[in-house]
Amino acid sequence: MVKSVKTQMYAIFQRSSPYIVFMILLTFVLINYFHNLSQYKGCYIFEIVNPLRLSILEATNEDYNIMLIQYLPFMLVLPAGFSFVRDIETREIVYISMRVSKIKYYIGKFIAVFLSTFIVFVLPLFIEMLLNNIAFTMEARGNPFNISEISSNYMNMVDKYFLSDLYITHPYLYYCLFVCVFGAVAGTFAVFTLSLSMFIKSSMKAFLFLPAYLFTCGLNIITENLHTDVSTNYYYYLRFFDSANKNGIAYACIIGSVFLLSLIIVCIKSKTCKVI
Amino acid sequence: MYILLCLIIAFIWSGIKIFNFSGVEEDIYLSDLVLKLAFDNADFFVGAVLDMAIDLIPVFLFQMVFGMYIYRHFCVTGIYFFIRCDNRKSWFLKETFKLLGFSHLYQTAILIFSMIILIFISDFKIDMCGIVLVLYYVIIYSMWLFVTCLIINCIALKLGSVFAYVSVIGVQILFLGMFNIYEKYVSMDGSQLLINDIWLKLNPLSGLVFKWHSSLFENVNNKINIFHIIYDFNETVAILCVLAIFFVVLGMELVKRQDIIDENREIGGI
Repeated sequence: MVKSVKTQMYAIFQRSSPYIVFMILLTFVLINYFHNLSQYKGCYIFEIVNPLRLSILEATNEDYNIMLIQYLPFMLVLPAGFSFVRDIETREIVYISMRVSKIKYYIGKFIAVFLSTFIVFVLPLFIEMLLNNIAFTMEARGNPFNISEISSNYMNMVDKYFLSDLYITHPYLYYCLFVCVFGAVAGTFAVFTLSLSMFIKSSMKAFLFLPAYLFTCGLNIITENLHTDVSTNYYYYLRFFDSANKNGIAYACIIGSVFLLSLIIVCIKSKTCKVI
Repeated sequence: MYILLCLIIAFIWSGIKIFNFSGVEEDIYLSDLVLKLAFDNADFFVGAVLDMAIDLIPVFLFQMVFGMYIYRHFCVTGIYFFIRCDNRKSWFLKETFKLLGFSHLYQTAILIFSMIILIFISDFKIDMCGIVLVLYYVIIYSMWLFVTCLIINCIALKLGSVFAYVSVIGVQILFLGMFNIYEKYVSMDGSQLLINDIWLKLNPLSGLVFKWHSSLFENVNNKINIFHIIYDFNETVAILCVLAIFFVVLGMELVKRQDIIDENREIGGI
């Protein structure tokens, strides 16, 4: 299985699309980084915001993250979502499944797509964390709202964060966890696209943008139409330190179900599909 | 099949959009309906931009389905098709007219389905202002769909469907994201507005927001022109027509020069 995953990840990273997505994300990150550098140039420590809260996905950093998250349904398909279709196109499916078994090819493809997308989406955010921690002192305790950390307003806001206790005790661990969640959501939608590309034969590659887009749109429409207090818009769930009303557990269940559904489809396909 | 797809998407979207009107006990006029369908929540802050992203869903769906309407002939059985086609330019022109027809059908279907649903759930009334807005709604939105689909088809011919989609949809999202930046960097209220309305007009997506436009008809103008600027509907229509003509001519040239004995451009094609 490891051999299958390695071969397929190697094939994915031989293409230009993962690097293009990585560069787009890194560009967003660097623009935000240089903007922060110019904003806090010459400031005292007590005026500087905590480096973790200077992230592009920080909830108050709306100028950049709104655009990034709008692009997300399309970007998360690009690194590896077309991988199965390309394997059919180049007949690589025959080559790999002859070397490892057919089942190992399909399961390996699932893991490889998830991991590749995860790496592409997570790496720029860790680079950003590193850059921010080098450029801005870790002792800075400020927040974007410019209010005291012990004020009731701030505490109420922090209480609304998903896993707020973890944020209070271990902010860096909290940040790393959310970066991984961001990568995992991207990976889940990539494998969802992959599984549908195995299941539904389409004559055009571009149709594979539809499943992830429709799914995320569907979640957004629910909030708009039902006028619920709890937001279902994925934008509010993927941002860090967001205090909007949301149900993190329900969202995790939805993403988990998508992941499981994709896995089931791939497993079924691995047993029923004829390679040649 | 394409007509059916148009009608299904239009029906589902009308249902979703009109769901917001359920429970409204006042009279609903045709003008209210058109404004609802034409980016009614548009503004320069994050929540509004997210609402506008939702309003772009039917546009993106149409582009995903019809973005390959002409290009598909070059992917599947391209050689067999084009060796029997003497004049590719006239063939392309015929296809573009069909595409224009589909985009008109799609927008009209959204409007008609919405009206039908509204008649059943509320007191729906037709007003003169609404009739003018309907006319502009069908023309502007269908021309936008037509132009963007044509651009996708043209880019796909040279660079493949994936790149074509990513670039055209990416540019539209960029225009959408610009509205959020306007709030911070471009003052859109008070005395600055007369100077800064040029920024509004430079963003092509503003053309789809009816309440930012002005009209020569006074009652229509009173209903929509919230910024009190001169941004006539006819300007948007004229720009879209010029763009449509430009891309039709460009497409004709591209189709004429396209090599049909090409490698497999998409899955399973020749």
